This record gives sequence, structure tokens and C-alpha cells, in this order.
Amino acid sequence: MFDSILNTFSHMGVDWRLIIMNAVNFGIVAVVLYQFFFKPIQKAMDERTAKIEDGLRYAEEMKKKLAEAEQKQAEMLREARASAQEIVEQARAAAKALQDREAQETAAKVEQMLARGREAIELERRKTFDELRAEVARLVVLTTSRVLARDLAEGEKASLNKRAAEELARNN
Amino acid sequence: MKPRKAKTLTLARKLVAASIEGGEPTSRRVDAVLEFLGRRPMAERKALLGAYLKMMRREEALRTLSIERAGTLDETSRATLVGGMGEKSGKPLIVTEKETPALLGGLKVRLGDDIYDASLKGILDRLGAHGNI
Repeated sequence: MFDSILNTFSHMGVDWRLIIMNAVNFGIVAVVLYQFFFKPIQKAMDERTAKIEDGLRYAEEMKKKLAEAEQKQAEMLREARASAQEIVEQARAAAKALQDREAQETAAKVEQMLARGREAIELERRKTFDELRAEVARLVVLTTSRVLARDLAEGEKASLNKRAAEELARNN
Repeated sequence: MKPRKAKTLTLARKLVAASIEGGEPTSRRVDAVLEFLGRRPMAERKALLGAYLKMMRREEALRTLSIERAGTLDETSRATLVGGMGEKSGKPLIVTEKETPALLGGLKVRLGDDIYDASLKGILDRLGAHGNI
């Protein structure tokens, strides 16, 4: 069978030894190519594929982390906004309380000053009134003294002296 | 032991009391006191005499009735006044009198440390001081 195949090739002008040689050459070239080109390329491609996959996975993770971070950031911002709002409210309340207290204190001070002022005015009025009364009294005494000194007759003086003597003798 | 000054004052007081008879000093008693003082040592005599003189003046002031008046004071009223004041002091009084026109009317008398003002001027002054006009 084998011989008939060889004979057929011979008749067709194909040298089976050449074919074998070529086949061996091809095998050697294939082995060399596989060993030194395809294998490193395959390895490099595998590594690259792994790297790309890693990169994609990393990117996916990063995306997820970014989303989480964004969510966390949004939450933090919300909390911060709420805190800020609360602080602002507290500050407003404190400012209002302070303002109210200051207003009350100012009102009390004003009231105190008014009371002092009224008291001072009243004292001044009384003092002026007393001075005026004393001055009027002094003038009345002076006028009366002058009138009496001028108009009192000797008889009247004697009568006054008599009454005074009796009074002093009786009371003392 | 009593200090010298206190002793002097006590003795002077006793001498003043000894000088008075019936509420007033008499010449006889004062002479006797002076004679007693003359027998004391010079240093003691001087201090004693000074204290005695001071106390006698004080005694005289307590018995002096000074009357100030505006206008005349009749004898009856004067006697009433002197009698009343003498009764109060319990001693015979030495009476001095002077005219003070500023009193306007009425009397102002002084007996010892006490002053009694029953003059018109005094009444007006008191009214003026209290503003009761």
C-alpha cells in the first residue's frame, strides 16, 4: 500500500524524500516558531489580557469606590449642611437672647437713670423750695422786724415786756 | 494718792462752799478764806487762789440774771421776774439789765448757762428758722 503511494508520487514527479525533508524542516520551523515566537507572544498577550482585566477590575472597583466616596461625600455634605444649619440656628438664638438681654439691661439702666434723674429733680425742687421758703421767711421776719421797730409804741413795748416777765416767771 | 491738781480743785471747791452763806458769798467768810489762803505755802497758794477765783466767778455767773429788754420794764414786772427766776435757782440773784432795741419787744434773760428768749425778735427768728410764716 505504502509502496503504491510512493510509486504514484514517483509517477507524478514528487520525491517523497523531499517531502519528508520539507516536513521535517517545517516541523523544526514550527517548533522554533512556537517556542520562540508564539509562546512569548502568547505569554505576553496573556499577561496583557490579565493586566487589562486587572485594570478593568480595578477601574470597576475604583468606579464603585468613587460612587461610594461620592455617596459618602454627599452624605457628609448633607450632615455638614445640617450641622451648619443647626449652628446657624443656635447662633441666631444666642444672638437673639443676647440682644434681648442687652435690651432688657439697657431698659433697666435707662429706667434707673430716669429714676435717679427724677430723684435728683425732686431733691433739687425741694431744695429750691426750702431755700425759697427760707428766703421768704427771712424777708418776712426782716420786714416785720422793721415795721415793728418803727411802729411799736413804748406803751406796747412795756406791755409786751410785762407779759414776757410774767410768762418767764411762771414757766421757769 | 490724789494728783496735786485734783487736790487743789477739791480744796478750792470746799473753800468756795465755805465762802457762801445763805446762797451768796459774804465778806466775812471770804475774808476768812483769804486769810486761810495767806497761810498756805506760796506755790500752793497761787494755784489754790487761781482755782478759787475761777470757781467764785463761775458761782457768780450762775447767780447772775441778765435781763435784756426793748422798751421799759416796770418795777412790779421786774420783781415778778426776779422772784420767779430766783425761786428756780434757789439762790439770791445778781440782776443786770440792759436795753436792746433789736429785741423789738419782750425780754431775753440769761441765768447761768440758760437763756430764755421771750422777745418779739426771738419769736420771729424761731418762726423764720422753721419756715412757719
